[in-house]
Amino acid sequence: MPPRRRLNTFDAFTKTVEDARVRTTSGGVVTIVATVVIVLLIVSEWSDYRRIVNRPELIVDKTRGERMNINLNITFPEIPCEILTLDVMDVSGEQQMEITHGIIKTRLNDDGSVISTESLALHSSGDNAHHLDENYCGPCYGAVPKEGDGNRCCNTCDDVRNAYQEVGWAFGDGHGVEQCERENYPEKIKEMAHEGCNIAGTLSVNKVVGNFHFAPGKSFSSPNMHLHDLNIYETSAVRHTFTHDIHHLSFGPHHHTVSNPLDGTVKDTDERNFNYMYFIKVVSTRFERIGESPLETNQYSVTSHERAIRGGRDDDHPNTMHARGGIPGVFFSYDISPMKVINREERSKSFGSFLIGVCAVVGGVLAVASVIDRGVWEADKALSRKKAV
Amino acid sequence: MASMENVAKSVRTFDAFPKVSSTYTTRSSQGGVVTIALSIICIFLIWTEMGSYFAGVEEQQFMVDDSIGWDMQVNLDITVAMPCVTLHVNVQDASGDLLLAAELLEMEGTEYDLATSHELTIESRAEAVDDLSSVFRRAKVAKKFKKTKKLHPNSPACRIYGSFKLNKVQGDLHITAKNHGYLDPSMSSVTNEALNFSHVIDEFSFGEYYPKLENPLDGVAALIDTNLFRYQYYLSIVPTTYIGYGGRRVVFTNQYAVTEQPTSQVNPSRPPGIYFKYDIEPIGLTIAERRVPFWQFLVRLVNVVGGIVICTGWLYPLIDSIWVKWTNRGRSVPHETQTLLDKGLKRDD
Repeated sequence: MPPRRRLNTFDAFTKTVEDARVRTTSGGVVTIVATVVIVLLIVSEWSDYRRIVNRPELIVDKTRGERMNINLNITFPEIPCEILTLDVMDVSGEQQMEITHGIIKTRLNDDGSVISTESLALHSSGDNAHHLDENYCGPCYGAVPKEGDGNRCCNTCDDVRNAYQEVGWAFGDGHGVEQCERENYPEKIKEMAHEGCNIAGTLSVNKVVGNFHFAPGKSFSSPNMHLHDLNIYETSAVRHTFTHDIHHLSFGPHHHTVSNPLDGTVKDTDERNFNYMYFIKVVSTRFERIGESPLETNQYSVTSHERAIRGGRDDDHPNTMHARGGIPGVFFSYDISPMKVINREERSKSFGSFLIGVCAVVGGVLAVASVIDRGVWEADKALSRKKAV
Repeated sequence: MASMENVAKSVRTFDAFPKVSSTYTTRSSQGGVVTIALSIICIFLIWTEMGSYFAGVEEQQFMVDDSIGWDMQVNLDITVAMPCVTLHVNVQDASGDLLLAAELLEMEGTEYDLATSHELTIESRAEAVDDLSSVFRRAKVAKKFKKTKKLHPNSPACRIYGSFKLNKVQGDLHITAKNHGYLDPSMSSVTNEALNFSHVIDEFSFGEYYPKLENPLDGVAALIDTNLFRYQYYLSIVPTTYIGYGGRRVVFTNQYAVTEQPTSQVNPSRPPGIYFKYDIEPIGLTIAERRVPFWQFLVRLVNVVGGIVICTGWLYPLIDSIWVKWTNRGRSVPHETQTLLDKGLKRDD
């Protein structure tokens, strides 16, 4: 047998001699239908290939030593910026008190219009007592933080306030304090009493359990407590409250699929001594989208809680004894989840599997169609034979 | 009529399937057997494909809840081997609230019965794994708990049951004895000897009350022979949503993992009692039933049938020719003219 002939025996595609072939109308119909079906299936195969699917994955977050940015924008319509402070504390012992970095305080009028915007340095050092005598040494009114620091000078109202803060005394609005009256501090406070305050910006915190809070008055910390000077807040003739409007609160960079549950939250109260708490659980999230570089950010879930400082039962919760005490304010306490969500976008199929799909569609449909065609033909033949008989 | 004839003729030219006129084909009994076997295999495979199509696949997604949480329902049904008048039930949570749960729960005297309960074991937790269809079958909301059997006003045990809402933050639900832990204005003193925190848990679940859904603590009993005993359960709650095919049925519930810690050394700052310390995981689980699109199912059917037909179409002559070669070695029989399977062939014309 010559090699050509030998190869011929392996031919799986045996061809029928043209003379022996029969073409039928039913065969033509089946062919057309099969072609249409193939085209339709290939189109859906293509759309399936182009489809982007989201494949979430849950892993244990193994990164460490990271810091996290908190972006916030909150308006307090009934507290002037002057007596509002923002503190951050966490379990690592880091405390950021009266934060000034990256945070902008905007003074707002009664009607919400902007008075002035400043980064959070409360007292501009511009109006220092430069007009005073060089040898002037103002009294600190007995607020001497350390032993042997007896001849400390408090030349400005701010110095006195700081000295008071350091020893943990309430300061008040500065009445009867020579330096403050000279700077018209009490009048300033009074003038501002009707104002509101917007705080916006970014805090950088350790990625550990912690809290940040807005509370009235200067804060001071000793190793086992954290206190605020509530004097002005409580004694002011104008009633200040912690009514607030959270425009935005997010952890980490923005991603358009992350919905931040607290955005747009408005809380209204008439009570001066009212405490809001938000329990936040932060979940690290990575977004991997096609055509974008991966983005590391955070999502959070939140539970809201509110109570009056006086504690006890209230109408909404007749069976709950709320805790008594604490300070008025808005507290955000955040906890970090050990799990990390990876939101990965993928093409549901690779190009290779798309090709395989196309082949399978064509082959499968043709095979089934030929079986159908054969069946129709045989049936037709059988019928016509019967007729002939 | 003539035009019809013409259309039929032109359609005929499209016929891509070579049908060999029966003059040139042969039929054999072996071929018939193969065809029947082929049909059976086809039907079997189509049947399995259809089964897996209608069963669907379970798809799990992880979601961080994007609504602001307030409260969460807890359903409990616990029988403690102490009279009701001696017990406190309270919830203390991270917000500083003290929820006086005893005011919201039913407390009824009953007998202490261990018949239907078992202790917390690995097996019981493994049993709690449910598949979607059984979840849907069993997730029927109930408003009421079963009535207490053997109701006695002065009986030795107390059945504490009911549903109430607690703050959706980390907390601690505890059953303690009066005069142990909380200051009691009534000064009803319960002596140490009277303490017995043996208990049976019939229901402990979070979210909507579905009595038939299995929870890890359902049916758990603890027998305690020491008076001063502190039995602690640590629960990690995972919000879970089950979604049926096409959103036909949605069940919101909570699953939880539990570990227990029994301690018999009780110091005064840690009063004896039964404690459920719970925390809520921020990542929720969504289990959805999904079906492949119908056209994909169709493609699979077509592929199965087509594949089988083509494979047999190739394999049958191949095996046939090998068989012929094997049996007729030495004899040179042209393959084209006669094969073994066609011996004794019956011409079909």
